[in-house]
Amino acid sequence: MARTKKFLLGKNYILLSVIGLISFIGFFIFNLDSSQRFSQLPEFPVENYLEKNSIIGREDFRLEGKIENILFRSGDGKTFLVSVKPVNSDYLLPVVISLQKKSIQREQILIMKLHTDSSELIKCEDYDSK
Amino acid sequence: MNQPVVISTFENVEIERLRIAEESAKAERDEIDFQKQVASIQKKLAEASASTIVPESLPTDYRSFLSAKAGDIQKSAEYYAELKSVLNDLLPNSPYKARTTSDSSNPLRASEKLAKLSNYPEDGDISRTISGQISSLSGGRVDDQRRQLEINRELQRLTAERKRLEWNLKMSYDVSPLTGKTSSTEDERQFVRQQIEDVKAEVKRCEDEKKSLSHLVTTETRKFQFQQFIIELALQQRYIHSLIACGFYRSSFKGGDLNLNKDAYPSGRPAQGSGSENTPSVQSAGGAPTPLPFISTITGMEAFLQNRIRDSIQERESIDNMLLENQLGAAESLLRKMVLTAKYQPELQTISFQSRQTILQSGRKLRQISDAVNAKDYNEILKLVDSIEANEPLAGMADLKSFAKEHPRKALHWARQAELAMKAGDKKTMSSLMDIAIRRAPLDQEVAQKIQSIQENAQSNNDLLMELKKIVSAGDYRTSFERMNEFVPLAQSANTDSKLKDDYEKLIEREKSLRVAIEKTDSLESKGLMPEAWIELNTLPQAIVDDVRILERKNRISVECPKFIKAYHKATNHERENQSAKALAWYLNALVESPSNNAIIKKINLLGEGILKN
Repeated sequence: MARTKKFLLGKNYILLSVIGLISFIGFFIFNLDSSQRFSQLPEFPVENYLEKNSIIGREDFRLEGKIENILFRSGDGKTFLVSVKPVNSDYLLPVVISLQKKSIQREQILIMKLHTDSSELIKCEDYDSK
Repeated sequence: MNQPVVISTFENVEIERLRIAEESAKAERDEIDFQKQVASIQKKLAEASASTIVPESLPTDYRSFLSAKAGDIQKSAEYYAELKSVLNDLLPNSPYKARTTSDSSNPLRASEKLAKLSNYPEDGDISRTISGQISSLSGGRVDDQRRQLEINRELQRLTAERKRLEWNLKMSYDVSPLTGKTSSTEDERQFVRQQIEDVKAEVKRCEDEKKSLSHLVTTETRKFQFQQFIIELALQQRYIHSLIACGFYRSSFKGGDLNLNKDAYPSGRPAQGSGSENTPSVQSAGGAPTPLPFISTITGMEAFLQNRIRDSIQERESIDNMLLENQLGAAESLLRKMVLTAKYQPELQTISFQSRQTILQSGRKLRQISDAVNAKDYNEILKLVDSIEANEPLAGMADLKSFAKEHPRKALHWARQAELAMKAGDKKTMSSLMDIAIRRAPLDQEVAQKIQSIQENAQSNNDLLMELKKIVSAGDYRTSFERMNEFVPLAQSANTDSKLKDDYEKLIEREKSLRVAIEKTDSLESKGLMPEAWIELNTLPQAIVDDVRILERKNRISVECPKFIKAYHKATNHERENQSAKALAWYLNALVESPSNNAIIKKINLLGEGILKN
């Protein structure tokens, strides 16, 4: 009886350890994905965008920032105009976000893949929550 | 700084012009009332004193009475004392006779005294005429019928004499067949001619006398003539003379009244037993005797004359009392009545020189008031009224005082209305009101100054118009507004061209909006709402954003909220360049500085919706 109990206890430990290991590996892999998916993109030049009239260009940028306010939502509920406060700037930026699987909300910190259109509107094509 | 802005508008000016037009109509109505009031006062003054009538129309008798010399008055007193004495001698019931004295009359003494009265110049030969009438009445003349017969006989004799002389003259030319010569010489003929002329002259004299006796002068006729004389004296207001004549009449005929003889009433019948002299009667052809009417002329006349004399005595007593009580107006009025109704009464003629002068002076003052009323010299009226009131409280003086005080005020009121009419650009009404003001108080200094000032201002209106044109062409909205009281009436004037008026109105509106913005900005600033104040200042029309008052405030506020200002200006610039995204970005940053700013929120909403729609 005592042997059985010890055996069961040892099995549980193993199971728990495996689950824990799997979880750890999963978490590590996930984190590695969200931080490194847009890591190759250049940082969005906030001040350059705001202060200068020069066109930034059509390439993609990476921006990490907090959603200050959700300003507007399109009729189909898939596009949002939000004000984003970049983590490394005091300015606010208006960003149009096309909603993907992940929902967004105020105060949420996102890492976004951005580009500007012909009217220099900042559009977010992809994002991850931080 | 935050005082309310009181802005007069063009509409207000129009309302003012309508009001002034009403004032003008009111002034014209008031002018008619004023004329009535003046006429009423003049009437009152004329009633108070005859002297207020202009001197030319003042009765000469009254003037000379008031202006008589003291010595003449004294002599008159002596004359009238003698006259009264004559009356007292004649009439036992003379109004001047004391009741205690004897009632007997003495016509002889009266007649002697009457003769003496002729020596006084005041008598004017009245006494002499009375004496003549009395001697004529008392049988001084023969029966005219007898005289007429005598004249006829004389005329027959003269006619025969004339014929004889003419025959002789004719015969004196015949040549004698014996001698061959005429019977008379030329000298003798001349003598005869002269005799004929003398006869002719005598005939003419007799015929003239006969003509003068063409009516029958009977006793009754002489009585009529005397009574007529008595009435004439009464009509001349010589009541005492007339009463004296009555006294002599009564003394000359027993019974005194007029008795008519049968010739006057041929159809009358003699009364039975009426043989008396005073009640005659005539026999008719066949009927009962009818008494002749008894006509009581002298008794009635005497009663009338006595009453007139007693009235005069009472009136004189009243005048003396009034003078004693300083009631000069009333005394003057009664005196004037006496001059009209009892001109030769001793009661009137013996009024002392001092009393006459007192009344005359009072009348003169009233006349001066009347002149001052005519001249509308209100200060003079007040002065004269005060001086009269100091001596004698006259009725109607209060009216005069209020009259003299009221109308300068009214004149000044109309002058002020004229000034307002000038400011409203209504020259016709201005002129009309000025005329009324001048007519109302032509000698008032204050009114004169006001009118002069209006005239000078009206003259300077042309200069003002030039100035207005300059200001409008320079677009000086601040000066336009600040001098609105001067310029608005001018711009409203019908003579001003409509473009100038429109341009001026625009400048006024510009300044008004600027002032309203300043008010609002200052209010926001005082509440600490600097971003809102900044936006207010930056949303003004382009024409006024560079105004020094705006710039001053901008400088002050810009120190207070530089981050907002930067964001706001970036946003507005981008918005102007149709860069909606960047404009939105900057508005978002501006909102961070002014979180509850409605203007910014509105902009964000507008831009955000637009962006999402595209």
